[in-house]
Amino acid sequence: MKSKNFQEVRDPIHVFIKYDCQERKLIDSIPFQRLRHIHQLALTYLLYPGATHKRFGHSLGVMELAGRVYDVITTPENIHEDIRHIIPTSTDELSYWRRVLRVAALCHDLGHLPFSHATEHSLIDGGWNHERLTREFIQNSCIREKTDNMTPPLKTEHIVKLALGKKEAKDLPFSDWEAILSEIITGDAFGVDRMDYLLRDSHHAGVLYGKFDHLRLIDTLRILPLSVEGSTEPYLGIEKGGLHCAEALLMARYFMFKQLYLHPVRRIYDIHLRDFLSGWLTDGRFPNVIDKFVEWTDNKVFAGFVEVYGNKSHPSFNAARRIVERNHFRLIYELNPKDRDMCPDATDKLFNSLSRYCGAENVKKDTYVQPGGLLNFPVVGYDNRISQSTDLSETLARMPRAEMAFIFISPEKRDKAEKWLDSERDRILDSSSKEIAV
Amino acid sequence: MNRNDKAAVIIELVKRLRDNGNWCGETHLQKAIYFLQALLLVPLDFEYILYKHGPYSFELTDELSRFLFEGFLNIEPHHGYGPSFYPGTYGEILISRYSETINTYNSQLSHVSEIIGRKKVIELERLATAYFVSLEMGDSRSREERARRLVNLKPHIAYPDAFSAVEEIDSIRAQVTSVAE
Repeated sequence: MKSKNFQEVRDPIHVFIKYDCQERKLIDSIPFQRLRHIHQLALTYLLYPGATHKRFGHSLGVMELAGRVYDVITTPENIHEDIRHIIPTSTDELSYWRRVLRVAALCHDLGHLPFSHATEHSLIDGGWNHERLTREFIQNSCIREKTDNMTPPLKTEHIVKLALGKKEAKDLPFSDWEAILSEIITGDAFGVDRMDYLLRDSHHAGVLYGKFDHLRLIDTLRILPLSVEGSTEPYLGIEKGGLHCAEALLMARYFMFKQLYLHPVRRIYDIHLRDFLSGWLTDGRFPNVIDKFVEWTDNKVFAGFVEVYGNKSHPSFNAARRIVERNHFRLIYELNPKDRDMCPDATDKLFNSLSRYCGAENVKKDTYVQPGGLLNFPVVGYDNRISQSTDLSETLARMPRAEMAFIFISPEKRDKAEKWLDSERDRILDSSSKEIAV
Repeated sequence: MNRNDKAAVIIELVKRLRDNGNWCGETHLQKAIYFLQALLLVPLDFEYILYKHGPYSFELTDELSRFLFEGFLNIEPHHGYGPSFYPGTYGEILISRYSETINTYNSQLSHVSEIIGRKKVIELERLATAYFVSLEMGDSRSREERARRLVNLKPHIAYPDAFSAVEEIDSIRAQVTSVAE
């Protein structure tokens, strides 16, 4: 029987994901298959047992959604007259860019370290991050030999630009069209990377807050000109009918951060994982050479847990023990608005005091503020007039940003630390004359 | 400059821009900080690229978001123009505690507030991009060449407007140089 040009796989989020035989070759490549062994949410499955999904499924999902968005925004009747000039007109060009977008979506996470974001910041040499590694992969022969042989051949620079976006590919010039296509994948408001991970993480973790009507939202996406005091730029925006879906997406993101991504137990396991790796990896770092890096998956690190757990003299033994025995540090303090009002650097002060009292090795601190700018995008009304989203939606104008500041204590010191904190906390925080630590 | 110093300088800038009648949206602030560090050499160290509405820093956008969370800045809706920034409660505290830093950069803050004044985003886009292009191409390039490059990068800007922006930025640079001497 002749092999099919199009294939499809079942997916818990998008039902079916379709790809053709050229994309299949890319999916079958070693760098892409490696993503089958990178957990999307690191060790989160230790507290949400269902959260065992991998970057592989997510990357397929991002490709599927990117293609759907592309089809909507390039449908002739959906194109706004004022930005028509930035969109290619020939069928061949439109097909080429659709292919580039889907391939960029497939490749956008190739450079993730084992356990995804959990290990990124302290375990790779300065100046490197997963986006830079992704770029290295896309430019490497293992991917290029697939993309160069597609019909038509894809330009590597185009894939890099769309997969990374302007923020991570600052050295490359972007046309308006390329900037919009990269926003489809990486955009702060409507990036399909975000849409897929919210839906997928929500589904697997069993945390329902991440769901929103992505089908309706995608149907209402448009490229729109946004004019601010006479300066007009094209942005990815929406039809007014999709405004509530956009609100739901951004609320879903906020809730997922609060409920799942910033869960204190998940965060402390990330810290234990980093502590383990810094003592276990050669020079405390993952390699940043692609041929070596491609061997690194979660499986290799799991084997390391077991190996080190059997060796009490190993510098990473304590961290391995915390993970293997599931005996993590416990949350002892979470910054709250009252304390912050009293003392803007409450977390630092309490952390320093606790470290002196209990020993630095028994106390860990973790802080995070959800990145990204103000959520302002163009919305086209039924009368074809374009407004800014924050003018139309009170919800978007006042969308909170997820943040947290935690202090953790080793289980062995917990009772002692709690008693001490109860008696000393107000005194430590009541020192308004000291400098604000930012 | 450490992060507290930078935060104090930015919050003071927000204050002065508003005092000068600017509504201080994110785009105004992006361009004002661009001039502050690239033209007036205040070491804020944000990485700028040419993006929407001219020179733009993703790092600055993230930092402004953190300032909102930390209470250093607040925003208020500005119908038809997007939100505008104003100093938050902790921002006022910070600038009073870092008055020495602000004094160090007082003349630069005043100068950039004057440059920005009540200029609209379209004017700021032209002016900041003209400066970006001048730095990129070097001083030996003529105004015509730089104006053409500006139009090439920002096709929605007409050549006469681009040329005026290059003239204006040359005049501002000359003033800055003479003050420095």
